[in-house]
Amino acid sequence: MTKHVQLACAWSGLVALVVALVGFTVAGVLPFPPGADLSAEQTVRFYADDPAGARIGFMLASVGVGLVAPLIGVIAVQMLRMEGRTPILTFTQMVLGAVTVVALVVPTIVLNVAAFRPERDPEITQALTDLGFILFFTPVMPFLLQNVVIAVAVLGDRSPTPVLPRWVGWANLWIGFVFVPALMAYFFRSGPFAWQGVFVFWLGFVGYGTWLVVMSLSVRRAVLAQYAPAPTATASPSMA
Amino acid sequence: MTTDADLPHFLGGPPEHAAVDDLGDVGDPAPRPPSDPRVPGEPGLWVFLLGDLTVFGAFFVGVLVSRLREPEVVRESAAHLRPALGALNTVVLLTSSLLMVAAVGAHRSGRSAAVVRRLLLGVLACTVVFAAVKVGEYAHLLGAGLEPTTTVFFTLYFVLTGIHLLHLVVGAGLVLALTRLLSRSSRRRVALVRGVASYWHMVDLLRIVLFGLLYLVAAS
Amino acid sequence: MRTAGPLLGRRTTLVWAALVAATALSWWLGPGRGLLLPTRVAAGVVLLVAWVKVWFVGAEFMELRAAPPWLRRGVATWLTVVGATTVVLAILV
Repeated sequence: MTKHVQLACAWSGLVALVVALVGFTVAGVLPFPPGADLSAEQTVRFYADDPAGARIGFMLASVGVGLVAPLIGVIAVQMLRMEGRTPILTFTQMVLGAVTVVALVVPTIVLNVAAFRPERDPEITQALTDLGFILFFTPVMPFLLQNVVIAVAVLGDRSPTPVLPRWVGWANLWIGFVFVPALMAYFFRSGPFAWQGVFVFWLGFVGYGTWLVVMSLSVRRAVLAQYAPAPTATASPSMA
Repeated sequence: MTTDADLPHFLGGPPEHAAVDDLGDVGDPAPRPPSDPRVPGEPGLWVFLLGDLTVFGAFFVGVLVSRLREPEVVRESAAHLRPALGALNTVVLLTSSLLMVAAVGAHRSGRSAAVVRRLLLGVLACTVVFAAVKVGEYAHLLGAGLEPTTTVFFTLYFVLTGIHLLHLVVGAGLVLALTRLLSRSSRRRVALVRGVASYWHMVDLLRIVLFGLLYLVAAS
Repeated sequence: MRTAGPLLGRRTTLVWAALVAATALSWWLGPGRGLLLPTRVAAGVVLLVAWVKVWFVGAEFMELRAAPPWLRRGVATWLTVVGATTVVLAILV
C-alpha cells in the first residue's frame, strides 16, 4: 500500500507539469506571455481576445501546479531514509515545498482574477497582470533553498547504496542557480530580463520543468528500489 | 507492506543507515564505490558544471543577438567600458587559476597543509583584487549615470558580470571552507579539492569569454 | 612526504603565460587600437582567441586532457556549439 501511495505521489509531479503546461498554453501564456511592456489597453486585449481560453487555461494551470504537493511529500519520505535520526533537511524541504506550492497556485488565481471582469478600468487589469506574473517568477528563494536542501541531503548520504544518485543532488544545485536571474524581473519591462524575457520566462519554465521530471523519475526509482525483494536499499547496515 | 520498519527512527522505527554526521562535508564524495580518478571532482559534479556552462552559453548568445538587433546602441554603450580594466581582471583570474592548479598539485603530491593553504590564500587574494576592480567599474559607470536600465547592453553587462561575480563569491566561500577543512583534518580529500578547483576554473573560463564579448566584441 | 621540487610544472606555467599573452593580444586587437582589421574580422578573431583560451583552461587547468571520453565529449560539444554560434553571430554584424 505504502509503495503504491509513494509511486502515485512521484507520478503526480509529472502530471502537474503536463496539466500546468496545457493550462498555460490554453491561456495563451505559452509559448509567449503578454509582456511587461504592454500598455494597459493591450493588456486588456490579451484577456478579451479569448476570454474563455484565458479562464479555462488559468484554471487548469492552478489545478496543475497544486499537484506538485504530493511530490514534495514523497521527496520528504525518501529524504527521511537519507537523514535518519535527525531529519532537519527533510522538514526544511517540506516547509519550503509547501511555500513553493502556494507561490505557484496564488499567481494563477491572480491571473484568473485579472480575466474575471473584462469591463473594468484597464489599469486595474494591468496591475493585476503585473501582480500575477511578478508573483509567479520572482519568489525564487523558496525554490532555490528547496533545491539546495535536497542537494545537501543527497550529497550527504553516506550509504553504500544511496537513496538517490549523486547526480540528482548536483542537478538540484544547478536548477537552483537557474532561478536566480528571475529576480531581475523586478527591474525590467523589456529585454531578456523582463518577465517575458528568455532569461526569466524560459529559463524559469525549463528549470522548474526539468526539476519536476528529474525528481519524479528519480524518486520513483528510489521507491521501487526501497521495496525491491533483493537485499538492496532497505537493508540496514547491521547485516554485516 | 506497512510495517514498523517503514517508520522513521524518531517515530519508533528501527535506526536508519548512515546518519548524516557532518553537513559541512557536502562536496565530499562517498568513498565507496571508488569513482573514476580521471574525472576531476566526481561525475555528478559535471551535471552541475555543464548545466551552468549551458546557461552562460545562452547568456553569450543573448549578448550577440542584442548586438545584431541594435548594433549602434550596443557599440556606443560598450565604448564606456575600459578594456584595460577588463584585461587586468582577466589576468587576475588566470593567475588565481594558476595558483589553484599549484594547490591541487601540492595537495595531491602530499605536501604539507601549510603549503596548500598558502596557495589557496593566494587564490583568495586574487578574488579580492578582482572584486575590488569590478566594484570600482560598477561605481564608475553608475557615477556616470549609466545604469542597468539605460540600454540593453548595460542590462546585460551588469546582470551577467553580477551573476559571474556571485559565482566568484560562492567559489571564494568554497576555497575558504577548504583551507579550514584541510588544516583541521589530515584526511586526504583529493576528489573534493579537485571538485572545488574545477568549479574555480569554470568561473575563470566564463570570465575569459565575458571579457571578449562585453569589452571587445560589443565595442567593435 | 615529498617536499622538494617546483610547485608548478613547466607546461602549466607556459600555458598560463600563453593565456596572459592571448588576453593582451585580444585587447590589442580590440576596438580602436593596433591592427586596423575590419570590424567583422576583429570581432571574430577576438572571440576565436577567447574560445581557444577556454579550451586550454579546460584541457590543462581542469585536467580534462586526462578525463574519460564521455566527459571530454560533453565539454567538447558545449565548446563547439556555443563557440561556433557566438563566432558566427559576431561576424554577422
